[in-house]
Amino acid sequence: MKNISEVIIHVERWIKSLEVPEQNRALCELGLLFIESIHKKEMLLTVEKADDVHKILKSPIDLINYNREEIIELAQQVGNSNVETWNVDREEINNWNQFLGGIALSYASKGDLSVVASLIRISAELNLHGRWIVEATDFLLDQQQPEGYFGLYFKETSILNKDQEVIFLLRLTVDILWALAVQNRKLIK
Amino acid sequence: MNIENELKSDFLLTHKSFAAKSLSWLNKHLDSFSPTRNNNLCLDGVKAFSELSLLYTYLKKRNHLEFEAEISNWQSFFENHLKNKLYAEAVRKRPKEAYHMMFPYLQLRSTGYKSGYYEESHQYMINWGHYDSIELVPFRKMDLEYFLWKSDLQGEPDWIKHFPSTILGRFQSTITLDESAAYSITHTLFYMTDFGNRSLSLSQSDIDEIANVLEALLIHYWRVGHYDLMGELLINLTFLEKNNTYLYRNARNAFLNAWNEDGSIPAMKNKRNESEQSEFSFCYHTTLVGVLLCAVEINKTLQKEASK
Repeated sequence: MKNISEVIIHVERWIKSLEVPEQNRALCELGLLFIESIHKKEMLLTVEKADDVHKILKSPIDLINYNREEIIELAQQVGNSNVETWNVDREEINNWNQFLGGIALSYASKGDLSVVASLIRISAELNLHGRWIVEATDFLLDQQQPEGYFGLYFKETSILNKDQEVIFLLRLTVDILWALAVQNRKLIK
Repeated sequence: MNIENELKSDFLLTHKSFAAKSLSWLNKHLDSFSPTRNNNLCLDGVKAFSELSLLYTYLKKRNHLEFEAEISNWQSFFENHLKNKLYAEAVRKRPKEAYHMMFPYLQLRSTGYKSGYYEESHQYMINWGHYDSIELVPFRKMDLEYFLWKSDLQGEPDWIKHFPSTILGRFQSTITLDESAAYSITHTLFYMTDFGNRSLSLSQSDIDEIANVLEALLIHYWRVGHYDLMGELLINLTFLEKNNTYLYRNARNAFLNAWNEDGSIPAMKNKRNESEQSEFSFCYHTTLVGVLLCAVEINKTLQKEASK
């Protein structure tokens, strides 16, 4: 398993080396904010958490039927919800742990890093750290390139020009940093 | 009737009715399980014939499951094909494929059926050194030794010797397991548990670890709609007495929902490519798995009841 501190040093170097158009600067800054959050073990991005988490998380079985876009959207919704009020019994926590981790491994086996990152983020928001989520996180960290960004070959990048490719990889890298930042914050609680 | 008995009765009736529906489909398509086509041997047919013989053996050896009526004409179906010269002589005529041809006979032999011709053919195979001249991956080696043991032609395999070399005995992470590896795992457990007749001869922590792997695979194959592997994994979990979890109950319900009205079960959620695959070849194996799952669950429930 890779050491997260080493991983983050490489990503930080990569993001700082990027020359991206003005409209994508915010994305770089968001990535750097997550890196700082990981260093400080504290989430520095503040989000208004107004949505009712119980209306968003209904049943772990839903995760089986969601497509990848719905899982990514779910991570966004959970991030915007009042997870502190998530009050379920031990058995239900185990079920969520099992399904979030199991589906993360399922997408990991297909190499879909965005979905794996989303599932890790949901788990971290809910303070769930089951062994399958840990395994999926290790897998995610192993997907780092020597340059520092995340993601191995994508067929999508073969039809993009160099600038578009960098933005594509930056988005994915920021998604992963987001998950790691939330996960790192929760681990020290 | 108290609630527990009522639930048990409802559970048994549901499984019995699903199995009966599938057995009806299998009976309707019995001729498609023939190993011959137009007076020629067909290897796909031999495979289907063999797989049907495995289910038949499981059901025949367990009369208490009460499926005799549904499988009443299967014995003659197998005997007729085994007695067909085209099939019977293939064991000697096609040495490379001899074991595949012999397999259905071995199955029937384990239920008490014997044929002098096949006994001699088996002796031919031994004289040729057939079993010494094939190289098998570890779970297939287990497969071979298991069925020879069950047909009373050799002793019980040394499970502890074989297990560490199988995928189940040595893999590190489920994300590295492809479909073939998953089938290797389900089959390894079929044999090591003697199709649910015995507990695994491993420590409880190893068994829990194996159940953990099965559950990770079950979530994956449920998500991708691979009903065939879902069914086999559910059978494994039942053999390991891990069939009363939230995951198991919901996955089993999803599997039961995959049943077609006519009793067949598609191998995959996504519709088959009709031009490339017949409905029969797309459904038959998963339908066998579905019947086996129902039978295994009924058997386990009745065993538990009897031990009270």
